[in-house]
Amino acid sequence: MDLDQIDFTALYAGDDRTWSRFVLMARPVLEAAVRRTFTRQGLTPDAGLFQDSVADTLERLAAKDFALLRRFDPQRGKLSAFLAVVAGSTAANTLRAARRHPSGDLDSAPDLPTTAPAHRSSIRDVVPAGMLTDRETLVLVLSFDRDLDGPDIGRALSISDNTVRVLKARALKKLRDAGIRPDGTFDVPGADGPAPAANKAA
Amino acid sequence: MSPFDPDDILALAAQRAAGIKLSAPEQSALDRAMLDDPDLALLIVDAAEVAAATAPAQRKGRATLAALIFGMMACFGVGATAGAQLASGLVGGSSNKGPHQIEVRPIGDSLSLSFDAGRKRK
Repeated sequence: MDLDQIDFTALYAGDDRTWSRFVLMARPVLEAAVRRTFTRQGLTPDAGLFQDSVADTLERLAAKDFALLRRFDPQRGKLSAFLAVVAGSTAANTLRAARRHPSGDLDSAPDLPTTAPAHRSSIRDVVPAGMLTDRETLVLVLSFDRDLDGPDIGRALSISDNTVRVLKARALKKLRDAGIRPDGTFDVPGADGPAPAANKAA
Repeated sequence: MSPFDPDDILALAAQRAAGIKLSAPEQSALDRAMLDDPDLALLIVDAAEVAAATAPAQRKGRATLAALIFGMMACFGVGATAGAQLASGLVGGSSNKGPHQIEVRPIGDSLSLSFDAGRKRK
């Protein structure tokens, strides 16, 4: 039986066998998504936290009479993609909570950088408000702050790789024309201040 | 106030990960959510890859079956063109259509042969 053939009516009616079947079929997807989130954050999936994240995801899906799972519309998307998004989000929350209240599970985990590089913390800090469109800003943020490549940015924004290149080039040109480098420093002669000065330009 | 709550945003992210086209307000809401939390973009990228990775068996099976049909039709003289069209229809066909419903547009000599093949199935 396929994951997409789950009988949601029986599931929402509280049928235990359908729930067990759902858990059995959803588990590989949830585990793959949680593993990816852990790996992205430089963590080896730790047995305790890993299983916690999978269990938390199932709990979150079923909470309040399946309120979250009911957001899934079979006509609009694949259940595996929906489950992967929820599992990834839950894993990120679990890791965030574990970092806030360390219990030893994250001993081997590198801390996420909490201090920004000296000149800026985000490309958004150097972009004056209103200079770029939301899409242009997003492309720069995903490219510079999250190190995503063109195809991945395209996938996240549902646009082609070529459009990503165009948006990025256009955004960088706007910054260049305003004398701002992506690292927050200025090209304009006489302007020798870093990021904070860039914000004043807004 | 945005009509989209955090659960809606997750659902929209999942739709984008599945390659579903969003409406303009949905797209704009998701873009704004991504600007607030760029990690949402990572979720979409990862979910798309996880979803693709969880369905390879079915596609692999189809590709194997298509190659088999292609080979068999070539062997029995139906013609490579018709065989290739039938095989590619099978691989690309995600609808409920069975292989016998695939429209085959034969070229040249393979015209009567593919027509015969269709008649035999009836």
